[in-house]
Amino acid sequence: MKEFNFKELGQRFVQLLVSLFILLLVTFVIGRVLPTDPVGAIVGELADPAAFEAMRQRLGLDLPLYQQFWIYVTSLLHGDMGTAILTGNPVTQDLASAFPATLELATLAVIISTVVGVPLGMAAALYRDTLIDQIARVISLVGHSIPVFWFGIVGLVIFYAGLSRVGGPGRVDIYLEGLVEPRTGLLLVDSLLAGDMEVFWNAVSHIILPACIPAYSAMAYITRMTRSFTLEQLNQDYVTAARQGRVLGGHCHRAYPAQYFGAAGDHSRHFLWQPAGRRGGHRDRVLSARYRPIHDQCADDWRHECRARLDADHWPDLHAAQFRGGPRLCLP
Amino acid sequence: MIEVENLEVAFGKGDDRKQVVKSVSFKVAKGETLGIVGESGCGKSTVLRSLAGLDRHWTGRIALAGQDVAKERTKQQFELAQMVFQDPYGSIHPRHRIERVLAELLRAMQRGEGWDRVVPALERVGLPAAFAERFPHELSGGQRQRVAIARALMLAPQILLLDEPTSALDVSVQAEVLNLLSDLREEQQLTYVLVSHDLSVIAHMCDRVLVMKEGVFVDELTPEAFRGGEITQAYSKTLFEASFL
Amino acid sequence: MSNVETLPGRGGFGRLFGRMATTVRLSLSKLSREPLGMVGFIVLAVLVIVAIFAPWIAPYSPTAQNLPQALQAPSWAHWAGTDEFGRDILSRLIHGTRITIQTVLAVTLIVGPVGLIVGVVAGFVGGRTDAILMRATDIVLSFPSLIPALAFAAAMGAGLQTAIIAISLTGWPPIARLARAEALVVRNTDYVAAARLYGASPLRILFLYIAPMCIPSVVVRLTLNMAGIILTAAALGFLGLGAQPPAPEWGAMISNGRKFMLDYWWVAVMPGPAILITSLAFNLVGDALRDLLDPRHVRS
Ligand SMILES: Nc1ncnc2c1ncn2[C@@H]1O[C@H](COP(=O)(O)OP(=O)(O)OP(=O)(O)O)[C@@H](O)[C@H]1O
Ligand SMILES: [Mg+2]
Repeated sequence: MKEFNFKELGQRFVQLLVSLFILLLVTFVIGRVLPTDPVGAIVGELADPAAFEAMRQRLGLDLPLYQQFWIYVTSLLHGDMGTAILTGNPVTQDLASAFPATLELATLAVIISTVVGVPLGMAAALYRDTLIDQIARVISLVGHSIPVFWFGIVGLVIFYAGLSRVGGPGRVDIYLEGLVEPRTGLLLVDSLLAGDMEVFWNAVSHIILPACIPAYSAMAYITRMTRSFTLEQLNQDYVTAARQGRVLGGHCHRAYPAQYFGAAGDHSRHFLWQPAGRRGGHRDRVLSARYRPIHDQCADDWRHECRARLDADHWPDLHAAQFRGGPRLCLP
Repeated sequence: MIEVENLEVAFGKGDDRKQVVKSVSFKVAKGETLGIVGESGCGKSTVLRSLAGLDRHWTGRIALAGQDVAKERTKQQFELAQMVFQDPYGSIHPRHRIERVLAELLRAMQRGEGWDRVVPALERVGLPAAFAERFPHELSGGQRQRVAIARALMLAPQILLLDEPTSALDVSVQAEVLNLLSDLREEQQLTYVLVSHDLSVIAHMCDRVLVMKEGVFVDELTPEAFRGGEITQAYSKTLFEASFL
Repeated sequence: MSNVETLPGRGGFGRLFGRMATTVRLSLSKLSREPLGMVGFIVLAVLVIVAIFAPWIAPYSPTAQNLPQALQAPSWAHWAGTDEFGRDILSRLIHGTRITIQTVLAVTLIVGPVGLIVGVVAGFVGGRTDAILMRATDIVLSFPSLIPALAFAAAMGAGLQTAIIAISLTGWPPIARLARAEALVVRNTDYVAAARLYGASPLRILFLYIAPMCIPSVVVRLTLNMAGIILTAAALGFLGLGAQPPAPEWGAMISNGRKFMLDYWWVAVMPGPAILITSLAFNLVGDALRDLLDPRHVRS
């Protein structure tokens, strides 16, 4: 056994810090230096120069760049992600208000994708090269290839507009809003705790479509991974041995959790839930899945460690940037 | 032809530093074949790689054809000694046709296109000219090793460094390749340094044998002593006996 | 032996062409054993033909407005219906293939060589160069690709070029990592050692020995990436950051159709299958190519 190497660990850590620093620098430069004009966007193009200057000072944009950068870094270290430039709310607050709803949605999506994806992937591996395998392959390939923002629209058109089977915008219908006491913030859990089944089923009808749609792409990924892990495990001797006597599932599954965790984390980024009430509700959630495809392009790449770690830091930028995008981003 | 004095090679730095070759010295005369035997991992390949100019972290003195060579070789010095590798499956670029494999040497040395030298080179090692068109995977192991030998001879070197040239081949092909090497040696007055595990190969080919153990030469034998089993040194004896078990 | 003199080397274009034809024929015959891959391949071929001959295939102009015909449901005259300006959606989709193929090709032509060179150099040279290049790669890799896209759009104005550059900017790291991994293996092989022994220069070794070994897996990767590029490009179009109106960009068409989504569903829905099919085709071909070119990856 090789001894635990502290020197190497230290080196890795320094590397990570350097990466982090450069990453912050780049985010900062993109956010502040490129000729976007947040001041103009807030006060309006035609505002008088004094108001313009005041806003500039309030945002700290009059300071030299290195000072702005210092403020940016130190406040990040203090857990202050800054102010979403267009709303004036602290980003942490925006995030906090959106968090329970996002968590609810993401959890549900991960559950759905795992519950469907794992058995499908295992079946594909166990019945390799049969019809089942081919079907699983097509299902997962389609999941890799489908534009999610479009899929959301199709879902809404069919199930909301056409069949009226699912709820539309918002976490529940308006007349049910605020009926249950928010204990966990997770509406499904809260309504169950309150024993209010009407709210519960209504909330389910509202969340099911937005959860299913990103769940499909996550499932595509999970199916594919499960299939190849299972194949790998099947090729190992101990499974060959175990196969004769014992159940296969338990053995194969020991290897999975880490990867699933990765997959789930990876895909949870797709469930961007915009601050509640700002832009309407569920329909946004369906449509915000439009961020997904970008991340999926290398779906079977092992994401680099710092990517996961830094993700949280990107959300405020994503928010700010998204608002900067202008009227085209407004939803129907 | 080859003079080596106090050659030392170490891998790694600091605590991991491992002395693989410890101050070895030897000479090989022109036209002579020197065999090196020893158990796996004792540093035989490392000596050869240093001689060839592949490894650059050695210390000591190496002289080829009476001329001291530095760690960075000049093109002329590369031309003096070429190497034939153990595994013919790994020593030929899988995506180059044989004609390119052979012509590359002249092209890299900026001595013209080299295409016209391909067929003679193939014929020299007893392969048909049509093989020039093929990819290495379309050849057998023995044929590949012939190509590797043809490649090593492209620049008309005076020294061939052979690192277990037959160990990846099966017995019938081994003899073929060894005979080819013997014939070439006669024809072109080549000097060989031959590393092998196979004592019969060594006995067949070599004028002199060095026994290596953990980075040093512990014994020097003549093939006669070898064949007659008149080995006195203890380690050589164990090695020799082990190979007949 | 009489033809021996004409054998080696050069031999002119005829020979080269013959060899290429053989290679293509071989790969096609292998591909035909992969029915799904073959389907993907055919779909791609059709798409390329459609893109080239779009003006002759499309029944209507992609941009000419015809307000009396606005928002017509799919019919025999307009197979995919019309949008709010009375433009035939099918014709717009057909012309849209040009934009898509253009984007995919441009991004691939940037990302492929850049990734290959960065990866191969990092893997071959090693040491500090490797550390620096890989650090840069990691940093770019940890960047959600929409951020540079948005920043770029802000800086240069939205447009097709912006989208292409933005996608390329974050697209090369996976290729670089792959190429590096291959290069690390190849640089320690005996054939590279042999090349050193005949004085081949580092550049020669890099481009004639190491790069060719990395190309198959890079090509597979690029093909699979193309599927993703199409989705990204469509997403950028959807956000208004791709080709600008009235260009018939598929993502932008979906985004545009959202306004009428509940009453005139076809405007938003019709471009989806085009994106899906194209992306799927690239995925299928990529998968098949992986099975063909990458012996280590055994699918079945
Ligand atoms: N690049 C390297 N880095 C570190 N150690 C090395 C390296 N190359 C060789 N070694 C070590 O040097 C020692 C000698 O290796 P060498 O290849 O010369 O052995 P050998 O005598 O040729 O063995 P074999 O008969 O198995 O080929 C081995 O212990 C090996 O582990
Ligand atoms: Mg060796």
